[in-house]
Amino acid sequence: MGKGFSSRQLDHIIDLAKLSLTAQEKKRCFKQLKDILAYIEQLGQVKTKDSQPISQITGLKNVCRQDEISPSLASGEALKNSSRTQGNYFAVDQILEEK
Amino acid sequence: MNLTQIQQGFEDREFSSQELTGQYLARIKKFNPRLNVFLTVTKQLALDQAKAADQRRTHKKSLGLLDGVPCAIKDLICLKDYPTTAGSKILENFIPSYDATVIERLKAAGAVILGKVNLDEFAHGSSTENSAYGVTKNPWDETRVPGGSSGGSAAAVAADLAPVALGSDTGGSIRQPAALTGITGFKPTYGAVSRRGLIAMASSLDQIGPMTETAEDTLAMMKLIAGPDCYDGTTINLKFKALNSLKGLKVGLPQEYFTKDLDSDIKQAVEKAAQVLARAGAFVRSVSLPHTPYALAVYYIIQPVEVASNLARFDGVHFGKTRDKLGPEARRRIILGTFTSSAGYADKYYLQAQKVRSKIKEDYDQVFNQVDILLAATSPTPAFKIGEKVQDPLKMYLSDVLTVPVNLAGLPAVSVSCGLVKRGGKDLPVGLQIIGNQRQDSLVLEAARGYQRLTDWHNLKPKLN
Repeated sequence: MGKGFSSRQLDHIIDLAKLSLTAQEKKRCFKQLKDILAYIEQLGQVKTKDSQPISQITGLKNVCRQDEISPSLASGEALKNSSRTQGNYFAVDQILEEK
Repeated sequence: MNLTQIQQGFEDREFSSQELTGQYLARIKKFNPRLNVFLTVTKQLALDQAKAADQRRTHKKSLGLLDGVPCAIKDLICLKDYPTTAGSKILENFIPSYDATVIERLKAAGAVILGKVNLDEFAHGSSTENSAYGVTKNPWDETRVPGGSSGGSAAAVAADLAPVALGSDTGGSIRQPAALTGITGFKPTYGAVSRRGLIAMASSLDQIGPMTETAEDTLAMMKLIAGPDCYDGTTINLKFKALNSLKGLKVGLPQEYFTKDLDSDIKQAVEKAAQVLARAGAFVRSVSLPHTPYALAVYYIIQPVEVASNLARFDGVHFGKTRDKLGPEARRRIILGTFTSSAGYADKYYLQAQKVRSKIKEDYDQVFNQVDILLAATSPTPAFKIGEKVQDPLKMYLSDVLTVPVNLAGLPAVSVSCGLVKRGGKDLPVGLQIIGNQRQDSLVLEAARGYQRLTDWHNLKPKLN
């Protein structure tokens, strides 16, 4: 079974991922994740001591452009899909409090 | 109807683009309530575009093979001023302020956009059952899935609701639904088609690709949508080269793709396809890709990590609703990806997966020193019943076992119809997968075109009454 994956771990991960699950959803999710992790464990069998990790699969490096200003999204367009705006700003919940 | 037939129809004045578009819109109106393919029908846009195409034709200013041709677009691709939902409630009524690069290119070619089609939510799935807007029915058997995640795109072409469509493929999401619905679905080399405007699933794996009736139509679409884009730093340039004969083509059958998990009649259909190529002068041999058994595990570590990262932007601040509107599969993948990349576990899972990914790529590099293309099945089974796998995520993930290694290595691959098998008394299509080395998109599609010149499977369509 997925070693190290406890119910407490699941709670921590859910918090990190800014999700919320009901107790029933958590129970089902936990079982499904343990099965998936058990399947994934087999990767430990592969000898990778001399392998490099790969993520850029076509070998591209340092793709840049000139630092020039060009037309971009108008602020009205950028704001229009938000449910909470104030003037030209997105409105968010306060995260810093004064003590 | 394929693109050549459509353009011939325009030339011969059999129908105008407006009439053709009207016919497709009528068919959509008739069959969509039953099949649930289209989430948004852009009727006025389509008719305006068709009218402009007809006017261009009258003035002999036609733009080419796609001018006046109706298309369906997977609802993961941004179309300016119309809803793009990603098949999710979190983006219900989200209206993009820009067109994806592929849409800009289609519009510049005169294509007519019929609307946005259904998908598994955020492209997470292999059946379209994970859509928050209901499953799409397979036109060959409406009790079965069309595959996923581009199930709507596949069903649209299979049911003649659109002659061509765009889908996206991260672990098989173009190829597998193409196989399950008997159409041609192509995933380009990673970077060949710009991802700007595609709602990101796994950024090192995603590609947009054409879904059509023929490899020839796929080539026509690729010439329009492929090519470098300043907005996508991972794009590359492709060269297209015609192949006039299959003689001397070196074809490999990877033994690890022909396991006991493959339905035996699917295996037979693929072997028959290999014989067709051999009779045309190709050299067919067995090859080995030893790390194949690990590919699915590598994919289900790397992809969820990238998904967790990409879906972090859905915080309800700049766009979209709050995170509680994300569906169960999206949440499952976010949680899995967050865990396997978290402190204390990232080395064991994510880093190890990245290393095994490089070994999978090396296997392919070795094999492409010996052969030009590979043949395999696309899906281990034909279309399965709605509800059959959706309760068991791991069982659903196993549908992708033949397609994910291709995304991990960034290779081009197409699925074309190569036969019919019977399940529950119904005929269901079988997909043949043709895989090439990176940047060999043209070769893969020319091989598929050669196969379609020698066979009739791609001409079969389901009967809808």
